[in-house]
Amino acid sequence: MFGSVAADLVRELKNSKWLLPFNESSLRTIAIETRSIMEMITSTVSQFREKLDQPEVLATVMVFHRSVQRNKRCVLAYLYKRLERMRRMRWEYSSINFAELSNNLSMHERDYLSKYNRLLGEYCESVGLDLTAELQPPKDLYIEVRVLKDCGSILTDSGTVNLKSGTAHFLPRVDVEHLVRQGALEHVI
Amino acid sequence: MAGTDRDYYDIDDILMAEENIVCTFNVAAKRLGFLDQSADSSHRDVVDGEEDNLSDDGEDEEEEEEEEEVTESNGLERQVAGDLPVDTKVELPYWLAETLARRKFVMMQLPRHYNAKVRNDLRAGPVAVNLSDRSAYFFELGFRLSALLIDDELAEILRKGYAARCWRVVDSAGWEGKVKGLMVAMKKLDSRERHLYMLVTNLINAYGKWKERCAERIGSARKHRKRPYEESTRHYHATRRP
Repeated sequence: MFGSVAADLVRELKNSKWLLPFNESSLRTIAIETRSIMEMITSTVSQFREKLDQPEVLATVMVFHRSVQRNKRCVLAYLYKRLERMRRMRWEYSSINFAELSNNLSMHERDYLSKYNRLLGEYCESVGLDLTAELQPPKDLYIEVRVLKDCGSILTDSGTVNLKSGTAHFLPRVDVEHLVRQGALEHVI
Repeated sequence: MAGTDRDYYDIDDILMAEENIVCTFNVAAKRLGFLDQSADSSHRDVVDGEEDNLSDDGEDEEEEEEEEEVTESNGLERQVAGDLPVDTKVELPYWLAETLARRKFVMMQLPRHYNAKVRNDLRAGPVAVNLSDRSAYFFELGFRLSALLIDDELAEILRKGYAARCWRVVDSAGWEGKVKGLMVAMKKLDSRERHLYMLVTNLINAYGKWKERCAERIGSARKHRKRPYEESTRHYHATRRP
């Protein structure tokens, strides 16, 4: 039956919340299938040129036509949902963590992501505010953090702080939030 | 998709349309023999043989040429060359069946899980009916089919049944034991109800976090890398999207 590969592709998307490796082989199979359906449409139309208004032929063409549309819809949904997930992750985690993810992306997706990154960066710069920081409104300007991994020293408004692993600090939220998101620090309270 | 106002990219909508429905063809569709999986290959061979005989007589030279072209192009074409006789029963996915039924090319048969017994069950005790065994998209598909086949009785039963079950879903998501409740409740639900169940569960979790004053704690990406943004942030995404 037509469309079964496409349906499997969408099912794969639904079954995981994470970005799975880009399924290029399935996409290729679907493209080949779609092309052969298109050939069938043209050959059917040319074979029954005089009887095109008869229901027997119309039904056939419609089945093929819908199959093409179906394949298209599945593939587009697959690609679009992946982009959506990528954008979400970009907002949730800093761009650094994306290095590990990029193995799962296709070439075009990687291109998209880097362009999106640049756009977002430019916009944040023009506004003068890091929009991806402080996703939730903070209750307090200062937070207590415990250092899990050595991060060297960072510069805060009140001077330099050396983040050695095992130590705890009371620091402005803005300065360390990205480190907490990366997992180098732990937010105590 | 024509005639629907659903999201084109909606995954659940796409998968819902993958459910099979038995259809009877009203027309003898050309070259659709491949749809009939029950027909054995020998039958198809006979049909092909007859066509060969015809062309041997030299009556349809044009058609013969067509046939050759078709067989040369690829294997799939050859496979589908047979016609589909009238009144053949074929299982078609909903996305195909819907279009064909709208134009009266096929007669749709209501799937067995909407028969009188299930209707009575739904009427008598909607909460107790096990839907996930029957179809993962029981309500979604049911609503569509009842509109398409103009089956007002089914629509009414589904509407009432869904309303009754909704409360039960919300209750069990909120108040039954977290793990046990999940396992027991999920068994009987269709996909739409599962979604509702997860929504309520996440809501309760978020409330619990807020009560323990750890909602504002910054999460780390590393902690839940295996399952990112599934539970902890869904609540947040509902209110603010990038």
